Amino acid sequence: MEAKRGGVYSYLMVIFSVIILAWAVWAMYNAFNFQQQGNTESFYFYAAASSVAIVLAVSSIMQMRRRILLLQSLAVKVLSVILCANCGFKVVRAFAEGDFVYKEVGECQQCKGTMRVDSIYLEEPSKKARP
Amino acid sequence: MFITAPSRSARLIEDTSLIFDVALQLAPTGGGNTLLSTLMNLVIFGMIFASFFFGQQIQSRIAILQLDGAVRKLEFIKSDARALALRTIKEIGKPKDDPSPALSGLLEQFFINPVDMDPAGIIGKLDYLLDVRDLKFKADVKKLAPEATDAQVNNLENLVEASWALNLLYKVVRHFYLLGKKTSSFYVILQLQMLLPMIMQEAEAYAGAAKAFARGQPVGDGAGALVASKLMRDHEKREVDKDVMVAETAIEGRRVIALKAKGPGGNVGKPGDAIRTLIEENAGKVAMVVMVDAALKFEGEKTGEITEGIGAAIGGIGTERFKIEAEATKYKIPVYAIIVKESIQEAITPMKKEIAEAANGVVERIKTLVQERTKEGDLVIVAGIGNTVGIAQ
Repeated sequence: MEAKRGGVYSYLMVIFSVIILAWAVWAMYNAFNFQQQGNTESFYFYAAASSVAIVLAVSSIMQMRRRILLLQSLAVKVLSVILCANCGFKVVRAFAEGDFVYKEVGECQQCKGTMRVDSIYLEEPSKKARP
Repeated sequence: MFITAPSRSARLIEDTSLIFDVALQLAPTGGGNTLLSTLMNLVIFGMIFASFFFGQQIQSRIAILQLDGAVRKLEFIKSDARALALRTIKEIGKPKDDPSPALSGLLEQFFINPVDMDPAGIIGKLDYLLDVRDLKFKADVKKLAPEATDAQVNNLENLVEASWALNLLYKVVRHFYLLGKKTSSFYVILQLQMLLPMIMQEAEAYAGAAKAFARGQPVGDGAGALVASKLMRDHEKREVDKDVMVAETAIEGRRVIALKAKGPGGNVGKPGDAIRTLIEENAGKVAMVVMVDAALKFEGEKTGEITEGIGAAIGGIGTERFKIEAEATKYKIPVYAIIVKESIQEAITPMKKEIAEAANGVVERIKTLVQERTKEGDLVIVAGIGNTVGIAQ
């Protein structure tokens, strides 16, 4: 729940930063227009404001990106694979307290053989393949 | 008639109008050279001047700010791990007294390396000191958690060790941070700042390790133990030496003795002693020793990649490797290594799917190696090295 709230906050901050960045680009464009018109004061004013806004927005986006990656890394889950050595019936479920590899966890639903934890591993959210 | 002092609100109005006057002068109104452009020029010149003469100090200040944040984060991670250790000890061990002061004492423990001015015999001394340390640590943890089983004590021991490592890391980083601040030494600060990304990665890995040990989940370092457990499965097991289990199996007509640390509690055992015992039990008639372990990958390499090599694949301080090398040399036994590649973070955090899946690949590699390098009837020792938390045999 806390991670979800943190995620929403991070995305809101990214949206806000993108708006600031868009304003900064617009301000920089204005600054160049003022410079061409010979309006030095307006050029300085807009150029300074735009530079500050770009730095703040980019730094905020970078920070939020790191935060989102961290939250994603916290969202991983550990799974236990339970296998029947007799018929190969397989169940994958979330790791439960007390699980260990080769622990007997009951009877097979299909052949009444012994079900054992075959492996325990951490599954990460699937990453998008790079082009 | 008398003159009263202007009221607070009147002064505020006066000040505000003054600010507006200045703002109007500064505002971009179009036209030539005004106060704003002069100010801007001054600021730019000031910045160039400051970067020429105070660049290093400015850089130091920025680095100190960054280090300050890192020290705070480390303190948080360290306190979190300690709280987790305390909570787990209370839950599992059900102690009668408050375990907090004793836990604090454990987290402050230290180890003094033997003198190495005369290195002859240092391995024996180091091995003995490590044994004493391990025994004391385990006894202290057992005292903290009287109702914990042996496997749970091993997990708790690993959990306390992860908290101990975080505590030490925090204290070292804080030491250099405060030293750099106190002496205003740019180079002390800079060195710490350069190492900071790696230190933070390590701290986060230890925090992950603490969670894995608290829950008894297998960690990436257990790749070797997982491979050995696959070979040992459904065969008769016995304990040789300290916390090492062995079982005999057969591959293509060869006798194969597989060994791993005693699980499923967090344990690495003493595989060096176990291999020596097994070789001596068989009067040195061992065709080959195959060691399977997790090994650090280079950045860019794939997690779970399997590679083969020569030599004793075992980490740690070096005492176990020394014993295996000495014994192999004595009886002229070839030692082969099969490693599963992973990062330092992956080694001490819950085992990734790629690593767990690599175990089957390693078993196939062992079979190929045994077929190619030995003949029927030979004896082969397969040692699964690593922490066996969450992996039985």
